[in-house]
Amino acid sequence: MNIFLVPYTRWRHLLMALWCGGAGLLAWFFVLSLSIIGGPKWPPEWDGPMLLGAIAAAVAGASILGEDNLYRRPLLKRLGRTALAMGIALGNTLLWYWVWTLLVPVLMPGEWQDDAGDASLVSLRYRLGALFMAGMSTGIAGAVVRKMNHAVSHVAGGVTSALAAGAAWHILGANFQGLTDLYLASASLGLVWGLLYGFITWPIPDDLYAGWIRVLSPTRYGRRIPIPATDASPKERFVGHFPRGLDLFLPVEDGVMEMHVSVAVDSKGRYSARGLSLQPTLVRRFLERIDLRYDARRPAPLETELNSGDRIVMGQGEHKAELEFLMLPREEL
Amino acid sequence: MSRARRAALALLLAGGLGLVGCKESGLIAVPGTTTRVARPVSEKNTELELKIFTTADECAGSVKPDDVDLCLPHVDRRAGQVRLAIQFRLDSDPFPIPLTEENLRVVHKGRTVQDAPGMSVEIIPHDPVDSPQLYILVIDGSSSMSETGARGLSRMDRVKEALLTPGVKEAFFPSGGVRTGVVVLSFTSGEPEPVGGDLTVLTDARSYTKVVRDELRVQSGFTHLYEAVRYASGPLLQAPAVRDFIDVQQASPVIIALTDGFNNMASSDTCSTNAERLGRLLESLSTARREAEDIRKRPTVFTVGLGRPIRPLFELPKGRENTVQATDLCGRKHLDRRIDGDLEREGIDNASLTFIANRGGGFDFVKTDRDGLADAFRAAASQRYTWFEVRYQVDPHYLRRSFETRLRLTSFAESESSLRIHPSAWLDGPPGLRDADNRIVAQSYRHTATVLMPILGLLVALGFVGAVGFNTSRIVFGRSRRGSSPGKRG
Repeated sequence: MNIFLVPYTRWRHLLMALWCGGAGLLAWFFVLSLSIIGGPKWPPEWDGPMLLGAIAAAVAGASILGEDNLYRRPLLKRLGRTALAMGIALGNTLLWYWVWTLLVPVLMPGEWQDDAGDASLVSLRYRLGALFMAGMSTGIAGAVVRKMNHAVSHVAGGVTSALAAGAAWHILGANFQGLTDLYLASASLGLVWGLLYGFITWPIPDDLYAGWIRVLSPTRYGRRIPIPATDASPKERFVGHFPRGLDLFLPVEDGVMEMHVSVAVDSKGRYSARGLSLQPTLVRRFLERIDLRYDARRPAPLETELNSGDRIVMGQGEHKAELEFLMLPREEL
Repeated sequence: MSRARRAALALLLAGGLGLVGCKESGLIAVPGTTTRVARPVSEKNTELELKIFTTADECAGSVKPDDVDLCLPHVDRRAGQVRLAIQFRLDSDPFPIPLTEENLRVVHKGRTVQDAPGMSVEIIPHDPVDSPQLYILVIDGSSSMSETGARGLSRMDRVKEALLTPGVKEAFFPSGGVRTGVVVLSFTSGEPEPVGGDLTVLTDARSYTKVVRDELRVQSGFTHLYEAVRYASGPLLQAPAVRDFIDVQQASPVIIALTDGFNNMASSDTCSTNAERLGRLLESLSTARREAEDIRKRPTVFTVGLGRPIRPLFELPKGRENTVQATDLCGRKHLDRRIDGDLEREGIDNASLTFIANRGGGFDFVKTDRDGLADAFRAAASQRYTWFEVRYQVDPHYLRRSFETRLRLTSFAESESSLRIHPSAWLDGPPGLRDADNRIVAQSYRHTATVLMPILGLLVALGFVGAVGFNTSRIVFGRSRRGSSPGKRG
């Protein structure tokens, strides 16, 4: 997880899912390895807590570690927060698993008690609560380490991902349509759990990125300036051919006026372009053209919201300059 | 209290609860699997101990190093197969026996696997040993053996050809240096008589060939099959020549009785007449086997029928193996039909052969040609094996919780053990693959890499899709290279 390898596209939200999915899969591999090499080293009753606890801890830890990697937090802090998340997830999973396991046979009707207490029985019916608890523990771990920020979505995401993982485990491993494969089923448990948890609970936030404008036209090609201030206060950057005091100079030969256009960011991190000139000023994006030419009859300049990849064209014909608006990692500021 | 302390406290509490919830298991972990097994329970007061291997140490001490993996219990839930390794022991020493699927009853969760539709048992013997054996051939010499078949060969000629095939001779006199012997008897009425005149134990292939080729011939008279088997399994073993061979060589007597018809002592005999006689023979066989001073000297009886079975669908009556009722032996159809000149023309009494072989601890065969007979003789003289893989197939549904497997030897000797197996409720190791023999071969743990690495690789690849798409679109739309300047354009 490196913010420089995660461009500001919609795909970036999948990255945490892939990261956590990989962690869930590795947790399955870890438990399977412990179990297979030399045989299981714990009683049958511990199969569930070992697998669920390992996946919950791995997924919760991966989510926190992924976030810290993207923010490039100090290494010790990353490890500490990751370990804390894993500890909370594991502890909660074990705690609630055993509470559930001890309670279920008591609460079940008499004829179900034997099945409910059988540690070797492959059945989603008697494991649903354990999966629910483990999913909740995953969410609680993430929420606690993130200081209860979006706590509800964390817990709901954890529960949803664990139950979906349980469904995948059940479909592949429960003699469904003649297919019984608890090997792939248990692998899918870790994978689906991580994928969904990463996807649901922590999308990569916009504050990891900053808006830049970059010159595309041949004169001064590649020149770029950031829009936001370093203190995250609202800021407006001006583009024109006025030689002093503007943020980005472009030559008059390219059809750029003294103060042609400005790009602003507000306190909520929203970017917009404002047309300040009577000369042609166009914001172009896929299947859309927005004319920002200044209208003298209006008290305020026209403005439009900017998204990463939008182009601002100033001037027309052979005398025109072109800028692009890009969201790049804030690290570059 | 800090979060870290709370987390540690929760872990401790969870561990404590886990100890409360965890029952005392005493289970044995099976290496290479996610399965655990309880300690096998051998039935007390049986003649042989049926040892089920459960640990690598046990296997290492009893099987070849390459076979240790095959020796450990294995449950493949995807294929629905359970594999166990067993060994028969006498006074804690391995006791090699020949074993096939017919001799071992496999009971899965209280249900006999062999009897259930869609379930099957396979026995794979390992580590053959040539043990000293005395083969007693009891050949029907009645006049019906002179009847000729399609190739112009009499039944007796077919028997002789079968007995003289190289495979059969190799089975009777193995080249490994183990001392074996053959006694050839021919029977019609009364007690069987040694072929060649004197009761001698043939200890080499040459003298055996000479006796079978030159001396074995058809005589006249009725077919006293039951009497012949009773004699071979009792008084014959006390004859000095035979007893000396058995004692000196520590040989196990193996009786192979061949007939082409029915036990027939008088022309008025009907099928039902034989029921009582067969009952007496079975009782005699039981006594002879039970009273053998050493289980190694216990006679084993194989029966070979030459011809078409008169009751091809016959099965031993369940629960009444110890008694013979006329309807069990003959069915209602043949109950009062005369043997002489009637029943014997339609086929052979395969039911009697099955009763005798079952009580005698061997197998029964019914064959019509030389090659079939040779196969039967070879099977009767088969090698004994030190240990066996028992693989049984059930629907995967029946492997979804802990189960008990019970194994019981149904012939040769009393022997029975059971094992409780606990597969994991959550995960399995890599499922097995079918080999060229359609047997499931367990896959190595390394197979896990073939699941893990491609998926991780896919996740990593997908992680770069965003960056690749972003850069590709910039290249396609010309944002990553400088265009021409207006001056140059102009």
